[in-house]
Amino acid sequence: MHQLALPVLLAAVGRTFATPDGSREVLRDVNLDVHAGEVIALVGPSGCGKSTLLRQVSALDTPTTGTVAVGGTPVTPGDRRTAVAFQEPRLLPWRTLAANVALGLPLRTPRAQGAARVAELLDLVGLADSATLRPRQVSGGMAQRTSLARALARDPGVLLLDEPFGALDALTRLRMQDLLVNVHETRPTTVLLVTHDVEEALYLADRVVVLRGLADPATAPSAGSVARVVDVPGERPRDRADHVLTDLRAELLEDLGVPTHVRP
Amino acid sequence: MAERAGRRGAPSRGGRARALGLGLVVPAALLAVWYLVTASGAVPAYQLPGPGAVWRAAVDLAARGDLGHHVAISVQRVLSGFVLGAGAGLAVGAAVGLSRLGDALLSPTLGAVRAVPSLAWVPLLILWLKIGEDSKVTLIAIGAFFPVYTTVSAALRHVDQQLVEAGRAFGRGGVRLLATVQLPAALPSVVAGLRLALAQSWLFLVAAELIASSMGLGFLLNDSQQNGRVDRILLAIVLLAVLGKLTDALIGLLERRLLRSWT
Ligand SMILES: Nc1ncnc2c1ncn2[C@@H]1O[C@H](COP(=O)(O)OP(=O)(O)O)[C@@H](O)[C@H]1O
Ligand SMILES: [Mg+2]
Repeated sequence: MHQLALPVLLAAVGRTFATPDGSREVLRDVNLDVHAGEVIALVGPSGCGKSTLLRQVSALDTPTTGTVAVGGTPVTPGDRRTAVAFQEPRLLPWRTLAANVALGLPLRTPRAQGAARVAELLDLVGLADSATLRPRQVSGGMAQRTSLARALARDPGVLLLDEPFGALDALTRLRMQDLLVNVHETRPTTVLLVTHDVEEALYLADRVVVLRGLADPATAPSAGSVARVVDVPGERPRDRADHVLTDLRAELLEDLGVPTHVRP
Repeated sequence: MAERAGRRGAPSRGGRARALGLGLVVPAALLAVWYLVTASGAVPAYQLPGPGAVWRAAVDLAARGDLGHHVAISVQRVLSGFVLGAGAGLAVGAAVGLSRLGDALLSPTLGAVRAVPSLAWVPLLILWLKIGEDSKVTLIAIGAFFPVYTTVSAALRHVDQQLVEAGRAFGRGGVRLLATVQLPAALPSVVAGLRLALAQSWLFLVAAELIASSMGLGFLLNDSQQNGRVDRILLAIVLLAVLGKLTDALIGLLERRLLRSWT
C-alpha cells in the first residue's frame, strides 16, 4: 500500500524562538508551493533555519505564524504522510541497524512483510551485511544511510531529508545521490532536501530554494527568509558536467557569498 | 559503558571460572586466619568461637528445623518487600520522570520522606500494622522503593531528547514511546536501581527483625546476643552475607540478560 506523492504548501510561515536573551526570529514569511513528486533543495548559510523549516513540515515544531499543509490538510505530530531523516542519525543504540530501520515501518505492518521491506532497504543503501550490527559499531556514514533507510521504510508521501549525505565520503555521497534519484523514480515521493552542497542541490532538485539568515546584517529588516528560488533545467538523471548547471552553480555560490572567481 | 564492555565484554568460560576462583581467595584466607586465631587460643572462644563451632551451631539449629525456618521467613520477607517496593518505585519513578506535573507534584514530598531515617518508621508501622508480617514487609518495601524511584525518575528525565523526538517523528507516542525509546534508554539505570534496592531490602529486613520479631535471621541475631551465643551470631552474619550475595547474583544474571543488546 504505497502512498502517493503529496503536495506541500507553506503559507507565510514564520518561527520565532523565545530564548533567555529575548526572542529570536529564525524564519520569516516563507511561502512555498511544492508540487506532488517535486524535489526541492534548501540551501543557505548555517544557522539560517533550514532544519527549523523541515521541523515545521514534519510537525515536530509549530510555526509561530502561517500554516503548513500536506495534501491540503494541516500536518500533525508523527504524521503518517511524512518521514524525516534528521541531520544527526538518531539511531537507537540498543537496536541493530535492521531493527532501527524497522522503527520507520508504518505501525501494524505485518511482521514478515516488514522484515522483507527492511532487508530490501538495507540492501538498497548498501548495508545488507551490517544488518545485525549496533549503531556504535558502524561509521557515521553507515549510520546516516541507516537513518535514510528508516525514513524510506515509512514509504512517505513527503520525504524530509536534513543533510542526509553530510557524513559520507565523496564517492559514497555520489552513489547515494544516484540512489535517491532511483528511489524517486521507482516510488515517486515529494522530497524536501536540506544540503550545503550546491552541486548536490543542482544534481537532485527541480528547484533550489536559497534561504538567508535573518540575523545577517546584510538582510533587510523586513525581508522574508527565502532569498531566491531557482528552477533547475533538465530532467533527472542529469549530467554532472552539464555547463548550464556549472553556470547556475557559480550563481548560487555567489548568492551564498562564495564567489567562484577572485576578481582582479 | 564502553569501558565496561572492554573490561567485561563476552567473558570466556575460562575467564569466568578464573574470576570466580580469584574471588574465593580472600574468603578462604579469612577463614584460615579465623581458624588459626581461634585454634591457637589467641582469642578466647566466648568472644570468638572458631569456624568449627559455628558449623556445629548451624548443624544443631538445622537439626531442630529452626535454621531453615529463619532463613525461609527472612527470604520471604525480603522478596515480598522488594517486589512491592521496587514495583511502586518503578511506577512512581516513571510518573515523576516522564511528566512535568508528576515531578512538580510528587518530588518535593518524596524527597522529604526519603530524608526520614529508616528506623524512624518502625514505631509507627508497629502501631499501625502490629508486629505481624505486614509491618516488616512494609518497612522493607520502603527501603526498596527509594533507590528504584530515584534512579528511574532521573534516568527517564535524562533520556536523549533527540531520540525521543525521533520516536515521535515515527509515530510513537504515550505507552508506545515509553516502550520503544524511553524505557530501553533508561534500562541500565533501572537495573542498577533494582540492585541497590535489593541490598537496601536486606538492610531493612535486619532492622525490622532486630526490633520486633520472633522469627528470621534478625531475630536469631537478637536472641543470640541475649543468650550470649556468639557462634549463632556469627552464623547469622555469614548467612546474611551468603544470601545477600546470592540474590545479588540473581539480579546480576537478569542484568546481563536484559542489557545484552546494550553492551
Ligand atoms: N528550540 C530552539 N530554541 C532556540 N533557538 C533555536 C531553536 N531551534 C533552533 N534555534 C536557532 O535557530 C537557528 C536556526 O537553526 P537551524 O534551523 O538548525 O539552522 P540550519 O539548519 O540552517 O543550520 C539557530 O541559530 C538556532 O540556534
Ligand atoms: Mg541544520
